[in-house]
Amino acid sequence: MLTCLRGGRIVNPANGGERVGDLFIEDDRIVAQQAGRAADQTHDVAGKIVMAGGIDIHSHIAGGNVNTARLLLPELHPGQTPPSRDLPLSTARWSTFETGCLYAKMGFTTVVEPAVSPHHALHAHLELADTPIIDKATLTVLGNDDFLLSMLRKGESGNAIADYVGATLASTRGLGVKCINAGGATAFKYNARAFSLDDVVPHYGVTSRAIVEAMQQAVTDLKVPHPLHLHMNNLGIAGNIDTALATIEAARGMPLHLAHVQFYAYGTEGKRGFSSAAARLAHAVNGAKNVTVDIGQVMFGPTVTVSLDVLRQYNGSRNARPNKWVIFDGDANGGGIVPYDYRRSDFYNAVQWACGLELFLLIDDPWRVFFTTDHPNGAPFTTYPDLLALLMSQDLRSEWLAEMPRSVAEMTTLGSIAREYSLTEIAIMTRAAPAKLLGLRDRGSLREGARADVAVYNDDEDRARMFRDAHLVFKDGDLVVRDGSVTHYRAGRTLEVRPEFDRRIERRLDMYYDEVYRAPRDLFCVHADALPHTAFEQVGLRQ
Amino acid sequence: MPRNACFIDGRSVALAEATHAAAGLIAASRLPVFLIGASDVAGARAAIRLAACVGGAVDHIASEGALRELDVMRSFGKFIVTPSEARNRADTVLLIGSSLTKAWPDMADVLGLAAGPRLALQPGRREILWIGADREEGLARLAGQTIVTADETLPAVIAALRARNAGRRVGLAASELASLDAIVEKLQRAQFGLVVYNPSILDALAIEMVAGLVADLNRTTRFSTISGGGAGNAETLMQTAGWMTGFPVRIGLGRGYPEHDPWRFGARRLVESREADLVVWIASNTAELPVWAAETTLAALTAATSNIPAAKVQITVGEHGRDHDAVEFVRETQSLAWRRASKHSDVPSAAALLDDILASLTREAA
Ligand SMILES: [Zn+2]
Repeated sequence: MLTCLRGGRIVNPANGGERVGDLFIEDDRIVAQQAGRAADQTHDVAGKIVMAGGIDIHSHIAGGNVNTARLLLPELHPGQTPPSRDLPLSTARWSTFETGCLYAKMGFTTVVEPAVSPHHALHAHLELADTPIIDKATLTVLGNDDFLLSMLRKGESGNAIADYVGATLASTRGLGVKCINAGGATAFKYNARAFSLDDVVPHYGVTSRAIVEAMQQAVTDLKVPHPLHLHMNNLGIAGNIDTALATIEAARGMPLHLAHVQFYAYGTEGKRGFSSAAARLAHAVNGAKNVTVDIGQVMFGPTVTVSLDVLRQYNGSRNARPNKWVIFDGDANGGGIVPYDYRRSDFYNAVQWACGLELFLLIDDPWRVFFTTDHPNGAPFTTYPDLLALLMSQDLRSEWLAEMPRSVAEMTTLGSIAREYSLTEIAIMTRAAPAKLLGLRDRGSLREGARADVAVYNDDEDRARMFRDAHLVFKDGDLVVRDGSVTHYRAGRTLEVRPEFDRRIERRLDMYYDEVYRAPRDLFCVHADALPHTAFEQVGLRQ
Repeated sequence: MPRNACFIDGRSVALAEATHAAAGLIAASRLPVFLIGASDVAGARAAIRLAACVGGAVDHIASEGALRELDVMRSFGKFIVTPSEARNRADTVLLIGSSLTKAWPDMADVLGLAAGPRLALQPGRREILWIGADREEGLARLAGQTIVTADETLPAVIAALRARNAGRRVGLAASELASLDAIVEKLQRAQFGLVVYNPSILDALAIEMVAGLVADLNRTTRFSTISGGGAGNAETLMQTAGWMTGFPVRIGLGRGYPEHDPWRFGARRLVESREADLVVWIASNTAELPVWAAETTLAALTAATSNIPAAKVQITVGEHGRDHDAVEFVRETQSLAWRRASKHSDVPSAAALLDDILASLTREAA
């Protein structure tokens, strides 16, 4: 079937920028206009904005820790809307079904769950299988696992380490690799209460820096498109700008993605010893072309922090709002779930909010800064429309700032920043750049041959309203959203990479599992047979 | 008895006829309760989808214990460790409550209590501490330091232990105080400690006290807990319900959207109050049908092949992990894990049957 979106303002920075004109969709692909052939279906989108489907590179939407958070906090998500008959459980708040629908109605069509520990990978994929409409992917977390740390202690070769990382990516069906407080979670099991880049993991004698370097190398050697995705040490601590700057240096010019950097942009100025160092961090990022970052913006309201940085979560548990938490000393990273309520009137929270916006606005290159709230850690992803509006309007930012403690304006540079994101910059940050960063060659763009993931928005002056309820959304050419309402479910795919590695590592791993976990390694592997509802799609390796 | 036996009112019938009858009962029901005795993720998922379609309630026969643990988490907080991490690291293990091995027979082996922790900085044997009623039980004999106390007085001993650990005074005889303090001293000297408790003899308050003791100990050293309970299969439903509805069991879907209320949606209460007029019993493993479940109309999807006289309709389903592949919660790994069928057969899975029923009901409604 040939579909025509007629007369829209097509914002397509990946190929050709902006133009007003028609866009054609045939089956699941964008196609050229077909001479002499009338469209089977035409949507008049004159005056509306047409973009590729949005891609979220970092949102904790599935897995054992997310599920524990659901069970811990039933009061956070009471729902009282019955769903339409064709969309069962779509109004069940915080369910996987709701997640798929809410993303779709904002025009997002691909989402990455960025923190899957290998032993919970099957659980994460089961949840993703029940997340409708959108395509999904996972990042596999390594860097606190006994096997890797033991390899480093013994000084094993980079090849051997790459084989291990490759085998783990394959067994967990991940799209990339992430380190979360590399070594810090293991150090916490030895009673460390703080852990920095050059601190040594007890028993193993390796530093966080050495772990990160080894993982960066392994990801490069395996030709995984997405660079190592790093959650740095010392998250959330005043003065941790030094950690962020040192980590950028430590990358030695090799590709590195730094996650939710807002949580690392803190100085120690002012009478409370807490200030924004976002300008310094932005300056460093601007100068380091090998580095990409996502922000992890804070927005106000009750939420829950879900993280495999168990050391940080333990330290944060004393500020839990409400006062309850789960600290999981799991295999390798483990994790922690700590509810939190970001308040506009709270000096620290307001500085965090300002820090995130400063980073968005002071990092020059929209191809290297990514749009996240680290859902749900900084805020739920449902706040995206409000955040987009803030990026696009200095007046709106001033209005918000005026309602905050006056000391906030003194401890940040936000009030002085005039930059406003254009629609093209928004499309780069939320579409074109994520596709490039993840190696998704047929997404994030409206060129001919691209996957027909398309979002059409009303050109509403109220940008939050515009991005909250897309006018039309196509997933694989299938019209799934009309005027902000999902019309039907469809199953999304799960994206993975399959790097090549020396299969002999698997025999070694089998023996290790028999000895250390006293269980067959197979028990932890993600088999397609266990996921009858999942269609996997292989993403090509770096050339 | 054939593995694919089906009955209506005790009369042997074909699978299609039994499935049609079960669908009819569910369609006609005012409030059906989907009561799970045992299921894998696929079975739990299918039950929840069907309950969402017909406005039923969902519960598990072991939800009471699982909810008690969850209540502690929801009102206070919890440190949890996997058995393998505990085996690798715990240099000190405090066992609380007698009969720990009743719910978890190979606990001592899984936790490697007799061996030393592989990843401890100072290798050596584990320090085992024990508080319980029967000094003669096997675990007590592993312990260097013990306190003998009846089940009824156990909560008071835990409270006293917590108080002494916090340096508070407690009104006890000198000899009792000495044995408490001996344990406290060992706890405080741990590098990584583990507390295992038997939840079946502790109420929520006592479990919270254990959680509180562990939280206090974590101020200066590392400690975590493992519940010695056998929530096992209830956890499979808990997890599945968590992502599908946002809530743990017990869940009601009568209003179209899920509601979680441990009292209102308890299967037993729903049956005994006659709010529910149908029990759909799902047991793809050995699980005993509770007597109260037969007080109303009963449709049974069960791996047990013998006829259940109280059942209006009975359909034999495969045993998950034996007749068909299965994903279920595994205590040893504290995660959902996959089990390949050990003896693959054609007996339909509970999930397949429930999906068939859902499809037939949706067809009729369309
Ligand atoms: Zn994150």
